[in-house]
Amino acid sequence: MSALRRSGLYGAVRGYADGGRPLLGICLGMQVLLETGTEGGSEPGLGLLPGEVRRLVAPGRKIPHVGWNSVLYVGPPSPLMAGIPDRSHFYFVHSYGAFPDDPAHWIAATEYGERFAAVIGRGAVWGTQFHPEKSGAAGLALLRNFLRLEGGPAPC
Amino acid sequence: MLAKRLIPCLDVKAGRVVKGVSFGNLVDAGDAVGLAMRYDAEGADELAFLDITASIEARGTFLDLLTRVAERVFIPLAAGGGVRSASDVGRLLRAGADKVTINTAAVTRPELLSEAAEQYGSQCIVLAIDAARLSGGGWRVYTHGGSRKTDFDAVEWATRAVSLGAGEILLTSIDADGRQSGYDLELTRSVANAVGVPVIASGGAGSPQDIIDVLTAGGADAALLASLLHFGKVSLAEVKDRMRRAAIPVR
Repeated sequence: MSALRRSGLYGAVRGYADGGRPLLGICLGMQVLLETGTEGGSEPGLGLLPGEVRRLVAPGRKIPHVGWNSVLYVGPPSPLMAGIPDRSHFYFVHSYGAFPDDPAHWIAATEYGERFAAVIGRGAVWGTQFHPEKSGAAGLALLRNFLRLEGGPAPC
Repeated sequence: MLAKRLIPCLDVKAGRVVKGVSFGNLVDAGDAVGLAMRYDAEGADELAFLDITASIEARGTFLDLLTRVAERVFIPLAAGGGVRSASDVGRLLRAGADKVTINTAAVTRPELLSEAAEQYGSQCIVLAIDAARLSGGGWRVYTHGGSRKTDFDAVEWATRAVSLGAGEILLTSIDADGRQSGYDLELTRSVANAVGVPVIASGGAGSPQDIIDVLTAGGADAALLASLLHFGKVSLAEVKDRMRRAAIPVR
């Protein structure tokens, strides 16, 4: 977050999001979408989605959470996940988890010691905790879906 | 559930993948990009590339290879071989690697790990350890491709490296490597129990059962595969099928 503020991108991102065009935050990019976060000290996020980001609690397990984990749909079908089967694996590498306040903003979750958000969405703002660009075919499908969302770039 | 990972390793010399027929004898195994795409299609969870060319001139070829792979293969890519500085790490990451393996240079100068981790993040830094059993117990760390002994203990070195910033450990048993008769399970388990980061086991896989053993009894989070796959003895699909039947979480 401090890097976003220092670079001046904070205002640009907020402005873009307030305009209602599709925005996708990936990994740390997803975490900064929320209101409050504790990674690197306590710092407010972009506040585009109410919720908290905090260190994962996974007793007996290694932190960071690294590798391919299965992603479970927890909300109604989302256009971001079109054509991607439930419980598909995606690649994660993170130590903090995101917990949106509103269950309606959880599109998919994953489990590692505890259950945390894997895919979130509110209006045109989306986030994935995993790296779709490193998640093989499933990840590429998600990115393609994102690019095809209304208000986004032309379909490819 | 978090799956265990299978990571084919490609040794690259002057842009071509080489495989060891016997120690010191290398055979050209083909175009690295083509082989990377094939392993990706066959279910590899990550790929590792080791630059075994000794020269600085070949560095450009290796970087170019990584870029071409990264343009076509969308799973995590690890790269290493002769990494000596944080700038070397940066070069590999910018060329397309997601993680960089460091071995000898970290033993020579452990602060390299903190420097690289501070600049690029621990998740990018994999410490590779080559270790061999000591008759009195424990394992000694070797550098320079397993040829030079140090007085570092493998478990202690792994622990120290993680506190300095290594995000994963790639652990090779010199004794088991290339013999295809199983990993050194005790070595793997000792390191896995000592560190709070993922451990990738390397050296010794001769059969799917060996891989199952190192991921269960050995406590490894991932298995690096080289000879087993390159010689076409076993396919990734077969290994994953056997892992599934052994109730190991698999992608």
